[in-house]
Amino acid sequence: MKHLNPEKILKTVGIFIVVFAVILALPAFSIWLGLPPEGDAVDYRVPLIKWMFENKSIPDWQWTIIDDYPALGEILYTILYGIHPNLMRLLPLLSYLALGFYAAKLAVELAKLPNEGAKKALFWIAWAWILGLRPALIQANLLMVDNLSSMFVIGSLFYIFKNQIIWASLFSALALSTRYSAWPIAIALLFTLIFKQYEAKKKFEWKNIVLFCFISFLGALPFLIRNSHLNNNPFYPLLDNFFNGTQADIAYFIYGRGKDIFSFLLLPYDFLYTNSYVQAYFDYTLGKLFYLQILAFFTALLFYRDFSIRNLLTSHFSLWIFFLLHLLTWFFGSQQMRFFVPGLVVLNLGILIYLYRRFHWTLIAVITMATTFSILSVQKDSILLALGKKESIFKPAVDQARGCLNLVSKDSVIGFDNRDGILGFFDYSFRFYPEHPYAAPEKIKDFNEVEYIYSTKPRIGFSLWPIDNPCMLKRNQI
Amino acid sequence: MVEPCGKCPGYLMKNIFSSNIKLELWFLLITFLLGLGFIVGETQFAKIGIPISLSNSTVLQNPKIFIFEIYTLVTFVFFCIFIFFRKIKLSAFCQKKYLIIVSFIFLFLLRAIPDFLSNPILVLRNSSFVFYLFTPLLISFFPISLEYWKKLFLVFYPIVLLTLLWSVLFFWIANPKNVADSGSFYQYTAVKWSLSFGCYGLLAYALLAKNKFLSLLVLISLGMAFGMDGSTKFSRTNLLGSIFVSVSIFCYMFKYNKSMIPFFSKMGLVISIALLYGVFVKSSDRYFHIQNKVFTSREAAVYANKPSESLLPSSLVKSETVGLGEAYRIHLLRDAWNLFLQNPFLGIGYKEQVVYRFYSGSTLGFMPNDGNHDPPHKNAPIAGPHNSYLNALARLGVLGVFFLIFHLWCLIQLLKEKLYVIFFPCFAGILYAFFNVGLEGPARSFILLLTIAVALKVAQKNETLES
Repeated sequence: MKHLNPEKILKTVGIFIVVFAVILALPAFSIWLGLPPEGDAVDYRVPLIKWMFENKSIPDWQWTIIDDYPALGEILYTILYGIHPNLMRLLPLLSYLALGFYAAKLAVELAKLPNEGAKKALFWIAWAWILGLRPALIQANLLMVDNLSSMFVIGSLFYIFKNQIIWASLFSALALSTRYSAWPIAIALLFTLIFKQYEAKKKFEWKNIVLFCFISFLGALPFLIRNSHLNNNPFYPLLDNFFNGTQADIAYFIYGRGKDIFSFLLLPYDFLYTNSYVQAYFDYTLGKLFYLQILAFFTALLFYRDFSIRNLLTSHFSLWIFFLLHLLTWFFGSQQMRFFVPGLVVLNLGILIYLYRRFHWTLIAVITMATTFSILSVQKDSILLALGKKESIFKPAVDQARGCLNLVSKDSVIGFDNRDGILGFFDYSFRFYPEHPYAAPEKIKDFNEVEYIYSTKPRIGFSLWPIDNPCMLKRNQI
Repeated sequence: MVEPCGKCPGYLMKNIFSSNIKLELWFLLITFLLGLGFIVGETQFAKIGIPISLSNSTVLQNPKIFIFEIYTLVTFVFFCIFIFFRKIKLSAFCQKKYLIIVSFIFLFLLRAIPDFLSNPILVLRNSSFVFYLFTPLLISFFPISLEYWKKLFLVFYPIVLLTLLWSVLFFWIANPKNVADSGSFYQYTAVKWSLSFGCYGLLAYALLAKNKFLSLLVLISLGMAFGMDGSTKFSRTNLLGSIFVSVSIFCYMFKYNKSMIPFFSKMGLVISIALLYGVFVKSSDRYFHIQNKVFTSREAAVYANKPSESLLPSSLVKSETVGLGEAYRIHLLRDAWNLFLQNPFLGIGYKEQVVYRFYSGSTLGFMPNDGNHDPPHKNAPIAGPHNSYLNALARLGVLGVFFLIFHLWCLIQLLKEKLYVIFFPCFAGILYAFFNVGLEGPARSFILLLTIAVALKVAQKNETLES
């Protein structure tokens, strides 16, 4: 026991977790041709990418625009789809791994360790910790672009701390061209850069700041131009009320308690308690692992009181500026946990670095090992599905759909009349009618009001999504 | 404000287990443990203040004196024994404070006479919160010194700690599948009661103790209990009490310029253990899993895939079952307040029920409080308006405010004497009475009654010294 090197142990544990996470993510590939465990992909992501590949263009319908525009992620998906449809699955997995990679590099940069061995150990451990971050972990299995955007943000943050402005700007530009949700984070990144530069040299390096702004802006520019040209609103569909006078009433701001100061003060309480126990305010919970990390932090604090809040804040002042601005912009935007992943990464790294600097090897090792349970619990479904031990939850819907869709003649147009865009159901695609593209989903009171494709099939109920109830789609003859 | 009781465990070991303890203390300790036993094993039969005549269909309506009446009887027997052996000086009764209290009690009991003839059992049940006041009055004459009272309550804290650990750990290990599922869990464990009566003292101890490992043990058990409490049946009494204790200790440390790091680390520990443990308990239960399922926007639409429901994610629409817990209480309080406004001078007396109806949600509306208010379940009728002081006001009119003044006066007495060990349970009892049926029966007011007895003892001593 005397010769055991804690750094080597931590490094081994970290590498084990990273490899474990990759292995556990692999079964999702094998089930891709069958029924995937994710409805969003089936409903509208795959049809969208299919459409983009077949038409070799970016669509201009409004449905899913907030989710999918700016469309860098979708373009990457389409390229992978063109090579082989199964390869699409590679992008979220790679983004998830790259997010952990850049976060680990950021952790090493922030910790400022003198010893090379300790740096390596921290690198692997930090990577393992971020792979266990629940929102990022869930996203690794879904065909979404949030992890990609978070990865670009964390990458940019890393290069800001490394003082490599060109790379930082490039990553920021990529983040801007991936997702609207990354646009407010870019502002946080800019302020982080300003404070970081000032911290280091006690003066503002205007050249670097202008360069950062310019290159980042280039990332957003194509989509600004395209939106202005098509919709007279560079930020379409955001701010559409201002530019076009339309009411963009999207059921998109339903997350969170509210946007007042009271809700802001209650945010930690809602994050930690309300969301997990009482009411789902946000899309994902933080997970048990996050609670375990907080527990470890406070246990360490109880036994080592050589801790000063002032030191913690001043040692990485610009990092906390980033966190605060990110939190504020996130709070006044759409309060979804997956948009807050960069903030959660920063929190995770803060806890890890505190524990690491105070040599709490055992605590860190225990928490890192606990990550395996976190990964296992999220990946469990796709593993069981791949092994054939479990049936897809969409099986009943598929069976019913086969019956219902067989009733529709080939020249029919089916879909909803309150959406514009495309929905899919495995081999089928549905176009919607652009009458009132942003109508809030409404409950249909009378099922006999409109003609659906039920015929004699049993009615499950009303759903916006074909995957849940394809018979609910409306039938219109051309 | 709060005495640092870092020496508590050592003090306890030295004084409780090694010194020669008076016989009275053992008697009292046995009563205490008996009381705790009843608290732990509280069943439907031990429900208090039940409006017997309102319904005739449930087992609860047996017109008999319930087993918990035994406390008052035990006290009376002890009192007689002490008088027989001339251990009590009756002259102490002539003190001004006692005379005021006793005259109030007799005034309140006089109010029962016109009602008593029509339905004696019902009147007995409904007036219990008045005649139980005799218990602390009698106990305060027992020849037990304040030091011994202090020791007794010091024994109480480890008992609470053990009970917490036992109930929280044992029930989870024994029945992990549906630990949080059934209401019976709450009736047969001491979690709720221990939290209500002991956690504030324990929290105060853990926050101020210098022994890290011991305080860690207390913090872990408290955290687990809070986790269990928060994930199963959220109690605002516990939350308020804990906030009060934390804030007062924070102010104390701030005033004396002490390092805040231990305070924050300990608070953080309790909270994180509670969250972690609560999530484990919650996820082992199916019902809560569905209720609290966290949705992606799409999953929410799947969940809402029912003709009768809105398409908005159901998790994000506050359901009535969530809101009802608050709604029915508000109606109970409003009804009680209205009864007081209608009879401000004499109150409604003991013949009628303060809770005469129950709000069962917007679809069912108001239902009679006869145990059938939550169909298809049969429950005990609601005993009081979930605020014992409001109950006193509604029943006794404006004079009912005596209870609140009296209890606050007791708190001040304990604080003046620096009996913090007894102050916290007393505070807990009063806080509980604000949010539940805390005075209407010994099973719930037992510990509060004991602390009141100590407060009276303090007042008795002070007056003797003054004279």
